[in-house]
Amino acid sequence: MRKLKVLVLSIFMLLICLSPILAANYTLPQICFAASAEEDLSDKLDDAVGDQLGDLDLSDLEDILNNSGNAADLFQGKSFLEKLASIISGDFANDSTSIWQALLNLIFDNLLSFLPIIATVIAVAILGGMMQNLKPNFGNKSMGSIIHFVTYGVVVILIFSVIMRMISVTTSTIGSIKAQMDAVFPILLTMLTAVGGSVSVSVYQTAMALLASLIINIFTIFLMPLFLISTVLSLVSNLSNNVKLDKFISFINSMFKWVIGLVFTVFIGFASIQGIAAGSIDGLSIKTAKFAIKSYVPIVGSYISDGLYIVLASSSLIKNAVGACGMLLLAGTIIAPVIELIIFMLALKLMAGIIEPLGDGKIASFVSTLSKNMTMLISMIVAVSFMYVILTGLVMCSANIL
Amino acid sequence: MFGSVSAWILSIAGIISLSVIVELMLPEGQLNKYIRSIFSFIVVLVIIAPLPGLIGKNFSFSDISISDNYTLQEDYIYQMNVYKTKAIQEGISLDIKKSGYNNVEVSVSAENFSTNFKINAIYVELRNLVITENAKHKDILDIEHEILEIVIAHAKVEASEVHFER
Repeated sequence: MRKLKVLVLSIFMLLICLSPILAANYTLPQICFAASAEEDLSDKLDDAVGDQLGDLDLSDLEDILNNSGNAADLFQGKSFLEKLASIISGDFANDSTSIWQALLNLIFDNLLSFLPIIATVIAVAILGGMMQNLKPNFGNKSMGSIIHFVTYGVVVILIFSVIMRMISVTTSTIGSIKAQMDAVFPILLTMLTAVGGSVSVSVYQTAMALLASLIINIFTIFLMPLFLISTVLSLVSNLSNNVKLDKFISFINSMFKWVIGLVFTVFIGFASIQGIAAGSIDGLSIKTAKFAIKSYVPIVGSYISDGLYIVLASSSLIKNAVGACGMLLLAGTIIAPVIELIIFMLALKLMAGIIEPLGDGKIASFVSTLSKNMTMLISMIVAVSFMYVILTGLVMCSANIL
Repeated sequence: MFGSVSAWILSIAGIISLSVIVELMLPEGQLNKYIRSIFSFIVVLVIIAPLPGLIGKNFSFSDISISDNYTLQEDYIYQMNVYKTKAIQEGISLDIKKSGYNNVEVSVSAENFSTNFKINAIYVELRNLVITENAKHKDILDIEHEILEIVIAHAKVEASEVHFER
């Protein structure tokens, strides 16, 4: 749980912090120029960036952006190309207040939409508990367990209707993250090749294919059923006093945790170690190429005349801007489902807390087990997007030595 | 594989639901205890039933597939290589001009269609050569040598890759 909280927090902080940092680092060329030459150079850089942006095929990303509601809000109605151009020119300003506004709206909308189900479940549970307490009046002893059975059934039907929605939300979110990967990764790899990071490309190409196919498949084919199994078993486990499956559920849960942790650690470990090593090799070759091309010619102002530098620098700018825009798109995609899941998880915890003293202990423990299971869904979305963010960040950081 | 897993889970859920319903139906008595223990025994049986079948079974992960690598945007890389070639060409021309030789035409031939950008050959045409003041009175071979040095210093190519046309 704590790990998950830290993960969720860190991914949001990463996404929010990354864009200004990138702006500061990459929108300006990293070499200081003489003041008179600066304008000339920035004009040339603008021209080169404009030319190269015109050559880039962004149609897949535009399609994804047009089909996603929340991400389009983050892009403020701009197209992907326009946002790319504005990030390259360093125009990040005044984004944060609107983002916070959207975030707060999202939270309150979700809270309101979950209120009816919270109220209904609590009312049913309290009613059941009251009848349980009054049961001597009915005379029959097994009446109590029948009341429990009925109350439990109503609560299960109410909560499972929401859980089914959550499952479909999670599946579709992971699917759209995969679609984004399939659109963003080829462009990033193309830009990396253009800058000259051929060794990095060979590393990231396999890592990206692994993430977008094998790991996504593990998540949807293996981890999603584990969540379903755990949920169903926690349902039947709280049905009666005699048959308890708590230990079996904890086995399923720890299997889920181990699989997700192993996949995450192994993938991130390999991708980052290989990527950093390959990045340094590429940096070396780019550096030597740069020296070969200009340093031995003792002509004043060779920086400005060096057209190759401008070509490479603008490619590098576009590469980082594509990465930043991709992360923005990702943030727009995952923010709504993650907040919805978190609020539903908290709502379940609230229900359990209210039901426990007033009503039935078994219903309370069922609801609180479900709230623990909801962290599985959240951690699936967060883990996939975290791997995506780290991979994109690695590509953005490599081959930047200009 | 996943179909059998869901069948397993459904049978666990089913047997527990059955035991609960039977428990509701049964009247109070001595027999109740035994029936409960029989049902717990059945639940354990249902849980462990598929486990012996796992031994010696070959798992195929064919339904978890790895897709092919991503294809790069070849057009864009070609365009970039053309930009790079042009930039190097202009840089060399400028350097030669600054050492006092006008109207020298430089053309760079590079592997523009490859993802690994590499210069194949550089052609320098000296037919329209105009010598400005600071480089007077030199043999054409000396000039060629000087230009060769400039080109090699700028583009780091082998001397054999630079061709002169007079």
